[in-house]
Amino acid sequence: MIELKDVVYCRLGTRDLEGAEWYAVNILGLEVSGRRPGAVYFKSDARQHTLCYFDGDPADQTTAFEIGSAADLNRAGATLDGLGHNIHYGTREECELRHVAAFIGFNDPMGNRIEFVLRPDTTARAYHGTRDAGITGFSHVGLCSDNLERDELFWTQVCNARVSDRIGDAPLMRLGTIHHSIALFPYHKPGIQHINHQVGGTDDIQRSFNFVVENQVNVTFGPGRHPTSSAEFLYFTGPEGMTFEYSSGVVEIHDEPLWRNRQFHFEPKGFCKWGAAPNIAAFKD
Amino acid sequence: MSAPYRDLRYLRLPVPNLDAAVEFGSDILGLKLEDRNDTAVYFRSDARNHALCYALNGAASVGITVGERAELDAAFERLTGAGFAPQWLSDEQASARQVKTGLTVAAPNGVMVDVIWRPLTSGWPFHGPRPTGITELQAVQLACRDVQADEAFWVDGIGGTVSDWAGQAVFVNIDGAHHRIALYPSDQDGVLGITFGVGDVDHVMRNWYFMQARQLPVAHGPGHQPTSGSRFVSTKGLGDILYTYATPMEPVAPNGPRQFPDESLSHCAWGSPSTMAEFNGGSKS
Repeated sequence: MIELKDVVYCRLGTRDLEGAEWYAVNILGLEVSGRRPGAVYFKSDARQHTLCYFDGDPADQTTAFEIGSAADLNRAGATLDGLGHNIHYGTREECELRHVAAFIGFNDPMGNRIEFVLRPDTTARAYHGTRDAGITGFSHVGLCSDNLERDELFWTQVCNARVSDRIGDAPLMRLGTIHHSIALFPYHKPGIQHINHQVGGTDDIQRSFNFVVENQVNVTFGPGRHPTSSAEFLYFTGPEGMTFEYSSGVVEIHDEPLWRNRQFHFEPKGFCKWGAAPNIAAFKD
Repeated sequence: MSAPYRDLRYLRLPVPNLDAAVEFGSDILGLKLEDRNDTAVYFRSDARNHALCYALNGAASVGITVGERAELDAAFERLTGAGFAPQWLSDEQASARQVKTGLTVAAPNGVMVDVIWRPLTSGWPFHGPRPTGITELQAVQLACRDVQADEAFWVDGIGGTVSDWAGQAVFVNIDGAHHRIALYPSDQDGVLGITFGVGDVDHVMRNWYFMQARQLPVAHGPGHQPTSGSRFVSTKGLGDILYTYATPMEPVAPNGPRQFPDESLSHCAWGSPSTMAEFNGGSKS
């Protein structure tokens, strides 16, 4: 069993690095935390960075998860190797670009690019966004899957994820106590389906709703409230069509043995208990 | 400090057609039709036997309740002393209002204010036709061409206290709550709207999606009233007034009334747009 601690960062290729940076700072409300030639790093919490945009193919999307020790990382490499995954061990330079001590990269069964990283940098410098979006941190990713059963087994049997709830066949899975750190949604191509940042509360969600509408950003779902995690949410479109989510009030699961995962409808009522309907391909049949 | 009134009791609104009023009150607002006669229909939102009355005849009136018979006499004297012209309700008027007795007086904006004693309470629970979350009649908003004259009426004549100002808009405390009466500078005189309290923000948002599904005009919100702390959404409906669902209000500020700037953010801290000039600031009055 590969023990993952948390989701750490996303790396997104873009054809318009300047435009992506403008959006990340002015709309999403992240803070630039570093630059390298052809890459910009953004922070959303105490971590050195939780998002990196780089010059490259927009389909080049990576999600990183933290692993607890060098021994665990080596065991994970051996496990994945044994399952036939093509493992890449990060070079010194690649580790520096990611602000981690070591990492392995591979494709999950769907072909989503995944990195398991050791000792990602945390900083003493607080996140302070340009705009008052109320962000408290990067929290989860949705990944695309064309075989939800197969991919759920990878994350729950090979790795340590636990299913907290399902919407149709789409599993919402936790790594720690937060209701979900990874979710899988049906889509025919690999990639990141959405990137979630937590915000402080209802006021932040609703202020951002009016803010993004005024800035002609496409709202794809919400404001609403998930019946699964109980979080209030807002989904909207970012550079290269990426879906970003703000949410607040996600339930925490502290009693592992007592939690029973629940089955929800793969219909608008399974995604929102206020009455919003998603305009997001992976949330619709 | 003991408040001069027990509660805001009802809004009585003239309408041209009672069948349309029955349909609007039940089907759209989610109130309970309690009583009906040839000239009026009575809707419940809580333990009050009625909180909203649509009547074929007469002027719009707002009912506020005193606890003792002697307080009616005191109110009559105070109003007369402040230069207003109260009249005792006739038996017929009292019966139509479902009260034992009371007085009625014209406010400067033409709306009648009924100071009443022993309004009818129902022993039965309120149960509306759809899950609006309505818990009580919360407030009435009044449009005023001369808002200062109406402020003087509500403070000197009625005996209320100002909780806050937003621009020239006045929030009047009559029963200890932040406000039951809100006075807005306007280019019209009359009733501007009625607010029903709902349990929490889930209900506000569900009612917003209900309004959209039924193609009701959303006039303001979803929003957050910074003065009272209430979250709300408003639609325009029967009688050309606003109908608002709102969460409970915060207590009156302990150090006396606050002046909020004359701008739309003083009416909605979430930045929601409004189709109503009354909530967009920049008033001259």
